[in-house]
Amino acid sequence: MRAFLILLAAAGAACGAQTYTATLINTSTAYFANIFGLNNKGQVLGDVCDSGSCFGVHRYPAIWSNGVMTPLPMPKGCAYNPAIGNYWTINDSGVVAGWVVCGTNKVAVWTNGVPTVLPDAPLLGAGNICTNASAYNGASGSSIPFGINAAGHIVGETSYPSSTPGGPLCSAMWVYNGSTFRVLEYGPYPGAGSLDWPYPKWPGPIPSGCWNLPLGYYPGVSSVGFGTAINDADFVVQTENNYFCSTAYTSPAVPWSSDPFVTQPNNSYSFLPLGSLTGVSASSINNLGMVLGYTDPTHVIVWDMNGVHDLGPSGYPHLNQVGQVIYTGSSGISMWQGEVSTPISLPTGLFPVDSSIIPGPLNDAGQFIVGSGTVSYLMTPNGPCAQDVTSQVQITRTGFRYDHTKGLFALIGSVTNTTSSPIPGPISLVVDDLPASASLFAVSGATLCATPQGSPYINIGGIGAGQVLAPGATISGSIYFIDTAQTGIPFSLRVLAGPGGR
Amino acid sequence: MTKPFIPFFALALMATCPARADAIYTFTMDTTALVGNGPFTLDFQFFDGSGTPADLNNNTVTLTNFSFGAGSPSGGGTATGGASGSLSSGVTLSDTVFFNEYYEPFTPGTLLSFKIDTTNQADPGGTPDLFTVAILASANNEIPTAGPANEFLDVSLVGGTNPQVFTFGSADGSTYSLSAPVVQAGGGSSVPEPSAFWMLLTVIPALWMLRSRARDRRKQPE
Repeated sequence: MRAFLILLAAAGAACGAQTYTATLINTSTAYFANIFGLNNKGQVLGDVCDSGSCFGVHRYPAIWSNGVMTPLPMPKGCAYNPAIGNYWTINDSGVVAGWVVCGTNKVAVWTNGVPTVLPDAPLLGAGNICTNASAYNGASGSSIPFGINAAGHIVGETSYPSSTPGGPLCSAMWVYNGSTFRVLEYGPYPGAGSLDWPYPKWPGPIPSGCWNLPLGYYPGVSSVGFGTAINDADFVVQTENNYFCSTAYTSPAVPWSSDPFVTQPNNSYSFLPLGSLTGVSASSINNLGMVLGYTDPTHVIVWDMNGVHDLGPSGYPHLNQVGQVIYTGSSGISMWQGEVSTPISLPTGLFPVDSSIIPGPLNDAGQFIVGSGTVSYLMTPNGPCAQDVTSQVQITRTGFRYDHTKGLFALIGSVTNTTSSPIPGPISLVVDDLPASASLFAVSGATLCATPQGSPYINIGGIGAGQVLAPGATISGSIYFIDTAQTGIPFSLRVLAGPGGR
Repeated sequence: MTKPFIPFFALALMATCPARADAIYTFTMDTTALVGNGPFTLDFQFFDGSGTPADLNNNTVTLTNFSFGAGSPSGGGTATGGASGSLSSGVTLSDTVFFNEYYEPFTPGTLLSFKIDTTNQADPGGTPDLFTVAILASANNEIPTAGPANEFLDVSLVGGTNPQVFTFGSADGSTYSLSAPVVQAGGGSSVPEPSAFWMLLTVIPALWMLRSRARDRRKQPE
């Protein structure tokens, strides 16, 4: 009988600290004031200033790639709003979602550098969440994005102001899949079906540990916090701010208790366990369902399959699909993975002594950004590359099956060593040429050494460093994909093996 | 002198072997461990290799002759993509789209059996079309199996003479201990495709005529 579970290889046994090559991502004429994203192709999205000025036309969104800074053109009639925050995002296809001002705030999407302005989410009128459409009398909505996933689905928020001063406001968060908006906020509160101001952004039952609220909603008592994030399965993490939860929380920065909750595509949702914490706000979610958050005084909080983890006094966290978190802690910049934090050694001389160095986004290939002031670097893991052993193995594809239990698409198959020599581990199955609509689940990383770069891979067979795939031996099992569109998963495969980068 | 016609027709007859014929199997599974429990749902999936146009619409799986022992189908099945039918009337799954599925609740008896009739065309994209069978328990989760994605049967349509067939029992520690199904080639042989059938209709009378002519020659005086 075939052994069928593909096991993730044991965490790489590091034979010494990982070292990095630093690439200055300032150019001779521009520098990043803020960095918003880094994808698996090494593209850096940020808020850029010309070297001589940082005002007006001298400040703009741009993508840095391989030493070239390419400004993103503004849609006609729109202007850039250089806001700091998670309103600009880039996915692995290089598609950007950003916040522009076209009279009112709008969401713009750049595909191959060409911008398109999205319509405001249709929230008003019969059949929508704000039934009192006359209160808005044709008011133009205001929309902002918070995140974009691999398939280009965007999570954001739209608000419609009242046509009369002090009148009702209609506002909701949504997921846009390229053709339709799925409104996220709803709930079994009195007056459900209308989010007219004061809008009860109450998502449903009161989180465990909170006081029971009597019937009725309480303006200003609870609300969904500003900001949200989306993963490739269209799961969205938001934060419920609730004055009634737990014990009174008196921090000056977070004067209420708060609890992240994850909403699935079918609009079911669940709150994350807070443990002994009284209030946490969420900032991102990955395909593994791991959620990154923060509390105050500033601690980085991570939820994974083992529960909630407090990384202690820390900040500036970024999460990737591998499950790694880069952050600043008591030991400087560190990488958290599998409940273990490892300090990162940066090359000396990058920044002046005693600089405050802040980590930026982290991609699946292990690249990340560090910056201080107006100087930013792309840090790339260095060292030898793994061997391409595709010609030494037979890859057999059996086919796909949808695993109801996991909610994922399984590709069933095997890899056999067809040579007379052992193949050293780890054995990495690389999935190239995936369409944007599909994502490999539970990735071990993304390729960086071997072209094409940016392809996801997964270590198979539980063969770690120092172990081998014997001659004639076969690894059988399945790897899993997310495919929300269910339109198909074409791909090609290659196998990398042995120590070194992928 | 007799011309060598017989060897020629013998070769022609061999050429009618069903290289692209349907494959027929009988699926039989002891479901005694499920009796009195449930509810359960039979889950049939048929995936196209990639979902790209070049791979779609080249294979069909037909399921008939369902028998549940003392059990029965419960009705209320759900078909998606290129799936249709019911456990009572038979189920057909075609790779009209990437993901094709039919599932229907059933009351298990001691033995589940049905007939599988499938075409077997390889997809040019490199990933075969795959037919799988699973049993969903509560919350529509599969009964865990030793299979790679909690299935009891894989029929991978790789082209050539036969599909690749893999069977699995329930996973160790599963609530329900189920042996792997027995999947036998139906009737012990494949059904030739129509073209081969018509060729046989042509060849057999010809062979009969040759045999008759030879017999007539033997009857003639030297």
